[in-house]
Amino acid sequence: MIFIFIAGSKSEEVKISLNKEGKREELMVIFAGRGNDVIDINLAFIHEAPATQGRIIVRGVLRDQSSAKIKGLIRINKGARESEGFLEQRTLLVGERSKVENLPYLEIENHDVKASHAVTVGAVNQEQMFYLRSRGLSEKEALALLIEGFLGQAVAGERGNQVGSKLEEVKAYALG
Amino acid sequence: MIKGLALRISNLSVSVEGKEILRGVDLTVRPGKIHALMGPNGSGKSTLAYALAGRPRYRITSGKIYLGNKDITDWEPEKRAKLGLFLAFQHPVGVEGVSLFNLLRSASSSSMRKVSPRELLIRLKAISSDAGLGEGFLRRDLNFGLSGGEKKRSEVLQALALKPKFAVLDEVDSGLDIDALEVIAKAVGGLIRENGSGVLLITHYQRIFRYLKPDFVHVMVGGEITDSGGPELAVKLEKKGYGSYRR
Amino acid sequence: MEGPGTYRFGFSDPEDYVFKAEKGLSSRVVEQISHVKDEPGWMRELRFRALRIFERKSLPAWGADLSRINFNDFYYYIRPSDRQARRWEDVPKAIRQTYEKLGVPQAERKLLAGVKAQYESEVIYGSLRRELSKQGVIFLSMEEGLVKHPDIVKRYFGTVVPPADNKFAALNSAVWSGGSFVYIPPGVHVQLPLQAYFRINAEHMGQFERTLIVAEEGSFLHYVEGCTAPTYSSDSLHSAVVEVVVKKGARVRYTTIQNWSKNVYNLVTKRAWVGEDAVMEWIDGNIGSKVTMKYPSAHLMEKGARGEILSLTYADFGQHQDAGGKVIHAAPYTSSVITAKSISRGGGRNSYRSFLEINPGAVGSRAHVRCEALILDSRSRSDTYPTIRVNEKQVNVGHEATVSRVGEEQLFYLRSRGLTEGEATSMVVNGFIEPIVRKLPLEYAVELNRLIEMEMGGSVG
Repeated sequence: MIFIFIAGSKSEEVKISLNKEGKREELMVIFAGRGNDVIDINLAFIHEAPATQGRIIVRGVLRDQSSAKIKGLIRINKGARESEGFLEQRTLLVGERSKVENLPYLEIENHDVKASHAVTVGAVNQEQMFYLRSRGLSEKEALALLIEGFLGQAVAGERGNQVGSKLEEVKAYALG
Repeated sequence: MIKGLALRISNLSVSVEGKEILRGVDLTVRPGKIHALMGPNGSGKSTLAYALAGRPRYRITSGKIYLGNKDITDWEPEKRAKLGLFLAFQHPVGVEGVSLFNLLRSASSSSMRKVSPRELLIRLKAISSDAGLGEGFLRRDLNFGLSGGEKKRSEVLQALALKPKFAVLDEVDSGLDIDALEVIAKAVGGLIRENGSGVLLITHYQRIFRYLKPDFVHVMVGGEITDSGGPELAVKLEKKGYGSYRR
Repeated sequence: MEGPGTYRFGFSDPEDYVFKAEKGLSSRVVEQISHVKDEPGWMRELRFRALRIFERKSLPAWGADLSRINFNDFYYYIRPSDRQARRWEDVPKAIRQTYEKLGVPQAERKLLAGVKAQYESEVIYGSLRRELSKQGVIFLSMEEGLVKHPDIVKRYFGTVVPPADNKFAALNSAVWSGGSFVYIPPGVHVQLPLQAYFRINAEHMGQFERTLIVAEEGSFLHYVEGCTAPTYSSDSLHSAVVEVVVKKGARVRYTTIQNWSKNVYNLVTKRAWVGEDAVMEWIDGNIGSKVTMKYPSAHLMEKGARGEILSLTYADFGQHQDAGGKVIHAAPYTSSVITAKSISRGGGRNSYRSFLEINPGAVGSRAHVRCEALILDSRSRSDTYPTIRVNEKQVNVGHEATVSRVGEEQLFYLRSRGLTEGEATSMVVNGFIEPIVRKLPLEYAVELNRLIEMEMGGSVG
């Protein structure tokens, strides 16, 4: 499993070739932007060998007028039969002028495969917000908890180690 | 013992998205008492619960809500909660990635905030088992991927942890088997005994009254309280339904 | 492998035309077209302005391979007959027989409120039920519209799709001929569909029809178009522009079943301006052509506007369908749904391409995209290329896409009930496209199901 943590303006490019039969790879990208941050993420998994498995999870929070462009390609070549590729890009827009552009691409050249992607974009859920406030959390505390939950979900079970502390840095950046 | 607070609702009218749901509701619940609120679907029971907790879209067009001697009509939801009001949701909202433990740690009253996370965990584990839930439950995502019964128990667990001075329980009994009902009733009974909390118990069925005896029963139809009485009223409702209250 | 027998509409008529412009694209050809049509000055100027834009603009750097198009190898204008007939008896016999083979007059009698039949560059037949014309419904060829309702045409022509929008919109604006002009007065509901049928006959033909639909407040229209062409070894070009204006509370459904022969480049721009609480529905079926690039668009310009795009593509040997949709949310509480399904087979390639944008201030908007692709064999390909741009936080945006094969378990289950593998596959494929087929007028639904069965039945397994 590969982790990438982005707090603030950054260009990140990752291209991974799944070129050995049965190879599995998982990539997790957690990002946070605030102020005038501009984040550019360009990810590609190329399935070149049979029975390879790839999974990409991208999750981020954008505050203020920060913006992100997220490109994610799953390419399954002709010879990569029985391969599976999955990509998820989820962004929480918190700032009034924050914005995001998603470009989730699939290029599939073999029929005996499974490939899919999903994208969601939206603001904080108001029902969740009210529920937390009814338990005594202020709007700010509730928002912090929701952001923490949103980012933390992706790396559940990684608390305490190095990954956990990197996650804390991104969270702190998002909330700070 | 923490002293409970009285809830007083005076001539309360509430609109949701321009549509009037509650029309001039009057109701007083004293500390340590259980008032049951019954009524057909769509009569406004849940609207009253949400209005009491301060849900933003629920607009109070007239009337007042007092908790103790405080007029909380225009208060923010969290301010009401901090004063000691608790709402057990009929449909608890799922929040993926936020554990119940994390919520309770952020939400706990000031007395709980003083204790260390470790001590808090020990206390919450005890409460968790009182609500009929395993220890691991605290680590699970808030109301996410839970069964209907687990969600109801989770609401009761939160009430036990937050020790409210007044609790609004919106259909905590629906969809539960007898065992679960008994656990929940016992937990709520404890809350009243130990904290002197007042309880507004919204329910469809008098089944729960076997375990949790109401001091008063109120009937809501069409956004108004159309009848009030003792526990015998619930028995009458069970037999005759709400037909006689329809206008 | 693809046999020549499967495309049922590949026959051609002998050429017997009133006027055929010289081959190739030049200002002389544009001048000829404008002259033959005896147009007002503003239209002539628009054509020349568009021609300059076409010459200046390069081919799109994305999408299907268009590098082998030779723009000087097409005829840009062919006039098959002198006038538009009001009765099929008055249509030249050979052409009439062609439309009979395509089933158009038969469908008109039973299922349609009006018909336009375009052959090469001109509409050669037109009808509209009398009760509709009494209610003020206008259904004319674009040329007739320009003569009889110059104000309405001038007001809207080129406003939804300006000539500079893209190279092929510019091309169409320069050399357009034929197409429909439809006007639905406020509150009028046209219950049965209006239909346009496009036929290319000549080799090296370029067809550039131009359609404008104006649906006034609270009106309703279902517009249907179909198209076929003979199979030639050389390429033909079809490049249409469709502009739709859907005003407050109106609803327009525009259904296309594109079944060009596999030598046609089909490069079409379709766009709707959608007003307050109005609904635009694009149902876009692409079965034929060599290359298609087409992304029906809904610009949701006023509060509560809604856009729905249903896209179905089928790509077989030698075909590339680059299709999908485009939605701009430019006002609060607008909503859109894009549903796309594709089937790739026999070496064919489908590319789903979409552009979804939510502008700042479009609060409360919702957009959902669901994209499913089936690949039936190891030689075929499927791509998904969406762009999802969100510039407002108070929105709900979701996009999902999957690419898969026909499930082996499903196939096995059906075969255990006695179906051959081919039958089982076509049954699964028919089930896959059913949600889209259900929305088609009956004649097209039947045609589409038969087409899929025909294409699958023989050669799988």
